[in-house]
Amino acid sequence: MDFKKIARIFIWAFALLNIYLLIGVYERQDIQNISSQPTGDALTNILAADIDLPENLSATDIEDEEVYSIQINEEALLENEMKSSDIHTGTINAEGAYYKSFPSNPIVLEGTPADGYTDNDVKDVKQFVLSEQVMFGEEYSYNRFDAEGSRFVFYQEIDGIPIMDGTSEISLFVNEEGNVISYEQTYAGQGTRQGRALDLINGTRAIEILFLNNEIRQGSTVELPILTYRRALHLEDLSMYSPVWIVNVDHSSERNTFRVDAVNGTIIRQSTPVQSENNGEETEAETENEEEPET
Amino acid sequence: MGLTRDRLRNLLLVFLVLLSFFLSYKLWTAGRSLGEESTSGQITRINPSIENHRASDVFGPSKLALHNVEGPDTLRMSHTEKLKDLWAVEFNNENLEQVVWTESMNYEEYANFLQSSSWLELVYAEELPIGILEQKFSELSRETANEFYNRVLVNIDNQDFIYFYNTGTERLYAISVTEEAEPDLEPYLNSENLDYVEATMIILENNIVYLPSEPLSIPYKSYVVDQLANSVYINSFFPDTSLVSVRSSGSLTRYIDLTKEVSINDNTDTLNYLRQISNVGELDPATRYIRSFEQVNRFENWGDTFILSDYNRLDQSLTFRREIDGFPVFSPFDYDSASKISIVESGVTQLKLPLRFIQTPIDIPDSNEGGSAKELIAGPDLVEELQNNVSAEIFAQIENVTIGYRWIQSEENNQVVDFTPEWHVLYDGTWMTYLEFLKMHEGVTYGF
Repeated sequence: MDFKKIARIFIWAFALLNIYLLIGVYERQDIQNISSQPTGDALTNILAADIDLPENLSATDIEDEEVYSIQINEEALLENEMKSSDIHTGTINAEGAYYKSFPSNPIVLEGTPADGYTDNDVKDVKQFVLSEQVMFGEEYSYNRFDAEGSRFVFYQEIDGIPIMDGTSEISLFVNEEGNVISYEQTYAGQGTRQGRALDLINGTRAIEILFLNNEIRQGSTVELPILTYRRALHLEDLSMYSPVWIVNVDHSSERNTFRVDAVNGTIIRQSTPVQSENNGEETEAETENEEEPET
Repeated sequence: MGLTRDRLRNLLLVFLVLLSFFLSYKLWTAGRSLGEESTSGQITRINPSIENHRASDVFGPSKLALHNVEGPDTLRMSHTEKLKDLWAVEFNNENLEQVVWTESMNYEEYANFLQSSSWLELVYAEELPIGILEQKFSELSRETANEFYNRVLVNIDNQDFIYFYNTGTERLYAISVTEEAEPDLEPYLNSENLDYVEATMIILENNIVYLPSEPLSIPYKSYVVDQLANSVYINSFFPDTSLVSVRSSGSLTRYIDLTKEVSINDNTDTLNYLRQISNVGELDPATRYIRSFEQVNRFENWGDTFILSDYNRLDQSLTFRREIDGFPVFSPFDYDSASKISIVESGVTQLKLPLRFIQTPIDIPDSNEGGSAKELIAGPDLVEELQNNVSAEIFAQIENVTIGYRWIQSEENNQVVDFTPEWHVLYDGTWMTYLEFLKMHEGVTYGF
């Protein structure tokens, strides 16, 4: 046997083996570098990806706030309130959860959907919601004018946190002249705290989770996350609401709204309950298609 | 010249062989630094748990008993739920000196010992090594640290000594208390804060239990059921999932790499972790208890406390049972109510974990026909019923009796679980409701 020949074969074999091993080591270290990035680095990477973050992100630090899960019992409050008074002449759906009304006198405002509204206009619609014409209006807070939907939006707040899943909101619709001609209302009811105060992730962490799960594209603009309540459980007699971060992300002309569970950081793939224009029935897509975040 | 070329060739070959060994080692260890397991085999990755449980709760007493405190021959008992914070401080408070003497004491003698004076007795769900309280001792020998106890006695009038007792070994340990560091018993005796009820001592074949003398009304409970995605656990066990082989069969999904296997059963909502470790090493009992708790605590999301409920000396596994308001929780086959772990010196070898957990209570008004609470029969009545309906032989094998919550899946929504209070019996190592126990042993009383 020619030892030199064998040695040459071995040299080639080991050289190839070492190249293979080198590539393997390199790839595994790559994996390690990606997955071991500490949380602090995620923000740096977000900025490096040309993603605009809101300046006052620290406002979403909620360590000192006590936030609880909320239970709301089904009591057909809108229906009962409507029956107990002659003021409310609108219509209510079969479940007694959705009310629609056309006030006899439209609320005349200075602005229009095209030109926008003044502070006085906003003051006027707030006053309307607080008036006796609107049931439980004092529990709602003004959120925004939604130009796309031509409506002023109010959300019910519990412990200062708005319910922004459509189950407790008031929409004041405006016509082309800019006057309020109708309104729709859903009302969850009085909430009671359940369990102990929750440990929540802050808004910055919610953005990081979305980024690490490739939900925020390069060149996007991220709005300040909003802590909201979302109905997590709907039984015949009651509903449970849990805190969720809503993160709006703009990319070119496209806007995406993400929901991140504020307790465990799960990205919630779920449509919000949508009110049908005609009968107010909820077309709630309770798909529960949730995705755990990559941390 | 030829010789030099040969030598160079040989050197190159040796170098390449050594390099291949080195690179193989690097490939083997790359990614380990953040991995699930360090060289000690302990799971060190990010915790899937969003709850933090305290060792003092897990290894704390489950019941309090007051002997002769409110008069001669009186016995009152309470749950320790409201003393958890106090016990958390006491758990680390160094106020014990050393074991002064020990002696054998059978149940009868122990009962007489209790009758001899006024005592506060701490009752534990399972025996614990004295070493778990090492931080409380100024001097504790290794031999004594490895002894076990499941009762602690504090004399109401004289706290120079406290006593540890083991109902299994029937051994009493007298421990001297540091001067000027005597325990403050007021919080334990405060009947305004603690819901003491009159109790009866029942001496079983291998245990002494205290049961409420009168019927007891315990509230029903309902909770939202939560569950994290399986990927959270898998990413925790396998830092590099590219090396993991996934095999699915029905409701069972198995994740396997070279050294370990994690299987998730979607029917039972349980996770099982297995790892082969050849070098088992020696672990002293206290270290085994603490490390087992630390590992379970990394994964346990249960919103209330859990407690050590069983130590199996045969396979050296520990079982941690979930609690609600200080009452143990039971479910069929303990799929949803208990975690079981086996560890050796170099790491975890086996872990069974319930994946469903509760965090948010729900007030469901009048969910049960009997109202918001269930009245359970008095302890002595229960014992009498057991004695009347099963043979003396079977009765003698009853290891424990307790009130606990039974996990019942809500019929209305699978996101809701109802908890019903029931009397439970520990028989042949398995907990079951006393009605199940009676049904199982129907017709085997003496005379039939």
